[in-house]
Amino acid sequence: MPLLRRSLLLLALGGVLTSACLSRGTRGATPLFTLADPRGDDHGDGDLRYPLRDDMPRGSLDLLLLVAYPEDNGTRFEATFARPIVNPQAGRTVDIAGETQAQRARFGFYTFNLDLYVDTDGVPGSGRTETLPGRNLTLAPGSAWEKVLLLTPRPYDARDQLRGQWLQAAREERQRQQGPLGEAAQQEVEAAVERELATRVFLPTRVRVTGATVEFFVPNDFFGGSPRPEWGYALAATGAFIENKVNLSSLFGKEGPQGLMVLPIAPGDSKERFGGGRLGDPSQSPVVDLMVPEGVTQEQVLAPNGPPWPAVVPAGSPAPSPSKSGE
Amino acid sequence: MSKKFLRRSALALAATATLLLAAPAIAQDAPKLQIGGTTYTKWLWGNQRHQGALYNFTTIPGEGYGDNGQGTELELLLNARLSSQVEVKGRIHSRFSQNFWTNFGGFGGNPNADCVAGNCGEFDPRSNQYIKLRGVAVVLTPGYLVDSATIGANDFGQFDPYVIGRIRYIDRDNAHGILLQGSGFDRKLTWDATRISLPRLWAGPSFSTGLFHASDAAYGFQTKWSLSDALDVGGIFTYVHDAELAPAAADHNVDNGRDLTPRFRNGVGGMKAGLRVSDKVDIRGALYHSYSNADPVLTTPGFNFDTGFSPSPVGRREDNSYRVDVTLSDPLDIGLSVNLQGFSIGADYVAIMAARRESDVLLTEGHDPSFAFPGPSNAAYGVFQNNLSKIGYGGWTSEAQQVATVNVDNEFTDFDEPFAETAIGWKGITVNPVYGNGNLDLSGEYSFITYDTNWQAFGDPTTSITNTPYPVAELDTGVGHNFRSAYQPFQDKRTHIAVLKARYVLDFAKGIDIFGKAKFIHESDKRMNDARFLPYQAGACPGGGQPCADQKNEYSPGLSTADTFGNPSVVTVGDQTGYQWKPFDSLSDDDRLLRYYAFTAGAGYQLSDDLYASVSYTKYLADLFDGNTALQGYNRHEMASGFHNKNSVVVRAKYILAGVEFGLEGQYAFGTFDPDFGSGFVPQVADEQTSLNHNVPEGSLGFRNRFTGWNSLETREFDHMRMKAFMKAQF
Repeated sequence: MPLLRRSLLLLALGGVLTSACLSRGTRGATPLFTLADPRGDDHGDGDLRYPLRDDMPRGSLDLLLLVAYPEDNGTRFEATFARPIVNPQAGRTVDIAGETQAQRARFGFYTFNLDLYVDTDGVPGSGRTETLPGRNLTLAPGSAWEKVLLLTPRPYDARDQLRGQWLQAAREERQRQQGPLGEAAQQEVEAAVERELATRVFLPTRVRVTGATVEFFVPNDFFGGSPRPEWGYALAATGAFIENKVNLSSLFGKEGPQGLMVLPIAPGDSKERFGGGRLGDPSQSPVVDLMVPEGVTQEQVLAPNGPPWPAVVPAGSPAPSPSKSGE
Repeated sequence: MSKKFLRRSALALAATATLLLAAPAIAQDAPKLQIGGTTYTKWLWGNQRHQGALYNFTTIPGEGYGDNGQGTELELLLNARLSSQVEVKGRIHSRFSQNFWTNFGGFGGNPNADCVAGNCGEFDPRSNQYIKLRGVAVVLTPGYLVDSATIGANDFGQFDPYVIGRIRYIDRDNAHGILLQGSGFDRKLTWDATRISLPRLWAGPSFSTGLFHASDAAYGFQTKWSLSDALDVGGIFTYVHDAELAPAAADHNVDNGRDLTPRFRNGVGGMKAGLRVSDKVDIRGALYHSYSNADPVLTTPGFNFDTGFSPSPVGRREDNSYRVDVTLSDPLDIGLSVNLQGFSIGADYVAIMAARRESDVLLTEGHDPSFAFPGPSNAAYGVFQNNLSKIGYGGWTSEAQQVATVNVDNEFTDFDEPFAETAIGWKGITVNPVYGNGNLDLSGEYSFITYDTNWQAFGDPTTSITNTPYPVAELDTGVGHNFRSAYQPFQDKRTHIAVLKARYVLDFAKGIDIFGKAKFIHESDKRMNDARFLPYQAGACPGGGQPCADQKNEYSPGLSTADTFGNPSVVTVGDQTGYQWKPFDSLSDDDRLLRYYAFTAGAGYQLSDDLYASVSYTKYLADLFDGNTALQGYNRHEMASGFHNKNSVVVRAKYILAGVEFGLEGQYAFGTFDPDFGSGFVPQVADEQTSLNHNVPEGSLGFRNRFTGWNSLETREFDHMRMKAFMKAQF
């Protein structure tokens, strides 16, 4: 038994050291591009206030940096916030079934979502300008996105929800155009949505949280290669809503479309939503921090009747047309 | 003191009422009423065949526990947002308790039955599908003076688990009180002030707040000041006041009202600071001082050394706790981070409102809840009949979390839920390296723990160990750490814990999670380490079939451990004559040495966006010497000295269908225990009655202990199968 004990300790030490030494190569890689954002602008339109929660102090959604590194078969993104990322607790149960916070959010974070909309062609009118549900933002026509990365605490559930919401929207649109849908038409709609989801949306599941940094991996299959600095990138941080809840009001059409795992904003202060929202503006964006290019401010984009959201081009020039890689 | 607090509470209430009346914005925002709910259906199955309730575990007398049955809960949630400044929340909740589907709707029943297993039917609220009011609170966010005022139910999770922890009993908001929260300097300064009505079920000596409970309360205040992005400081204070009506002898005149006299008082103060040296280095520290005072007349004056159950020691106690955490976040930019923690939780540290579960105050993993009670099958008092294991051989399948109280609460849990153990008396260090690169994540732990409860005769050799101020609960015997046992009469203990965990995502299809873990615990405890505490004088038991002489050894005048560790009788079994158990005549008789290994390997896979499943296998090997038949598990527990070989296969799955969530956890635990209780006694043979009483084969070997309990000397084989499945929908 003493032999086993020594072996175990040596194995632990050896494993960590060996892996640490082996890792130097990839960690020293030159970034593909870097996006920087000012510190202290995690206030949405300027009036947004954090929920009255002790696990979401000011600065916790203040995005400072996004760096993309090339790796074998993909890209590793590193996003850094102003404060250490709050980890889900393994001991804290969150529902009557005894599920723990760490089980519900098993990728090491639970307080935020990161949306990265990527305009790969820079062609106005090409791609989508509407953001994911609940963000309540519109991208500028010249920044319409072809791809989106959504880093969220429950990626599989988020994909499932997004599929449902897109499907509902697509069915309604088709019904509006064609009237009642037969089975064949329904299957056609479903296939189209599934295709759209597969080609346009990626939800990382290889995620690692270290201090104030979260890194996530995106395979080259998604972008059709490495993401390029000439592309446009629109990055937004929102608060995450991780409860698995069916919104009955939304189902019965009494409210607008359900947000995609996003913590809403409302007037006043609350423990359950962001405060400082505008009265009479139910579609106000709950985005906490936003990356914008020079010449426009986050507060302007998030203001009522603000300009559409332009993407940032790290290389500093408009995106070349049209790469359409990976499509 | 209570009048002052009453005045303050009245002022706070008055201020709140004023805010309500003055709030001009109420009419500006349309009221909104949301009705939601949760339905939760649970299926339990297990081969222990318990059916007391739809929870796997409780120790509360009169409550049921079980591993079989099906039941459904429903809760309706009401959330009225009257304006941007006023919210009203509440829930109407039915509970599982003993509401089995087999009750057929709660009809019938026997009002005179023991009300477990649904036997009382409609005559007992726990089996007649009763509905309870839960979580009623009004939340005011006036926008000035205070950030928010929460009046009513709350889990009080915004405080500190060392002082006022997130409160859960069965539901997460059983506690009620008033919570005011405020801030200044652009929220750089925040504060919380509260009055919590003291839970009469557990928040006082002997899990009670006495007869007069209605004005008992815990008062708390905490503040945090972020001086800069790099530095924050804070303080916390709580005072618990549990009073009783003054006795007539002290308060003759009732015409001027009736006086109160304190039953239990508990004050805790703490200071905290956090320094962010750089993006790579964080340092956090906290220091707490506690004072508790339990009235010796209104509360239990002391406990027997082996039967004390209470959430606090008796009498007047003061002690400190502290914790320092250093986090190095990938300082070398190679993917290697290191967490370091130094900690000390005093033996007399008492915070009656500290977190009892669902919080983890230490970095270490601690012990494994697969071994949560003294007996090899997790039975407590298993040497006596009708004390079968409740949670079963498999224990809990989660990792343990540590809490800074002996008031640990694992009640009404299932085997797959988080498990808590007390860390009272623990002091030591933990080093936790975490490494990640590519698809590989590695983490490790090394902890060294020594104990503030390393003492002889409960730290006071001038008093009898049979009348101690410390509640010992199940005492510290068995493979693991009995979850609420912090005190034992003699202790000289050290623990080393080493853990290595690995996770690798295999690039196949959606990525297969491969995970593994190796854990090692080396724990030694000399327990009694001074010969003056031996119960009898040397040579009192001469051996050779001769009876022992009653030559007690006194460690102080009139005090002897012989009252606890009495000498054996002489018995004859077959042609052997000798002692019924080994006389306690050596300091090594009660020694403890544990060498514990646990190895886990498993894999998980996201089969579709809706379905995740995992399977894991754990091998537990525990080589334990935990005293011989002289100590005999402190007379009351099954002895666990010997070799434990336990295996556990766990399958987990979760499936989501249109918002309805299905979950399943199944476990098959099997293994053996080979007892090794030493020598110096004559094994006895189980007769027919012993066989019936103690569930051992007739004719098998064992020995009968001081209290006529039976310890089997035969190898035991265990097979424990169980499953929990659920369906849950939130809307």
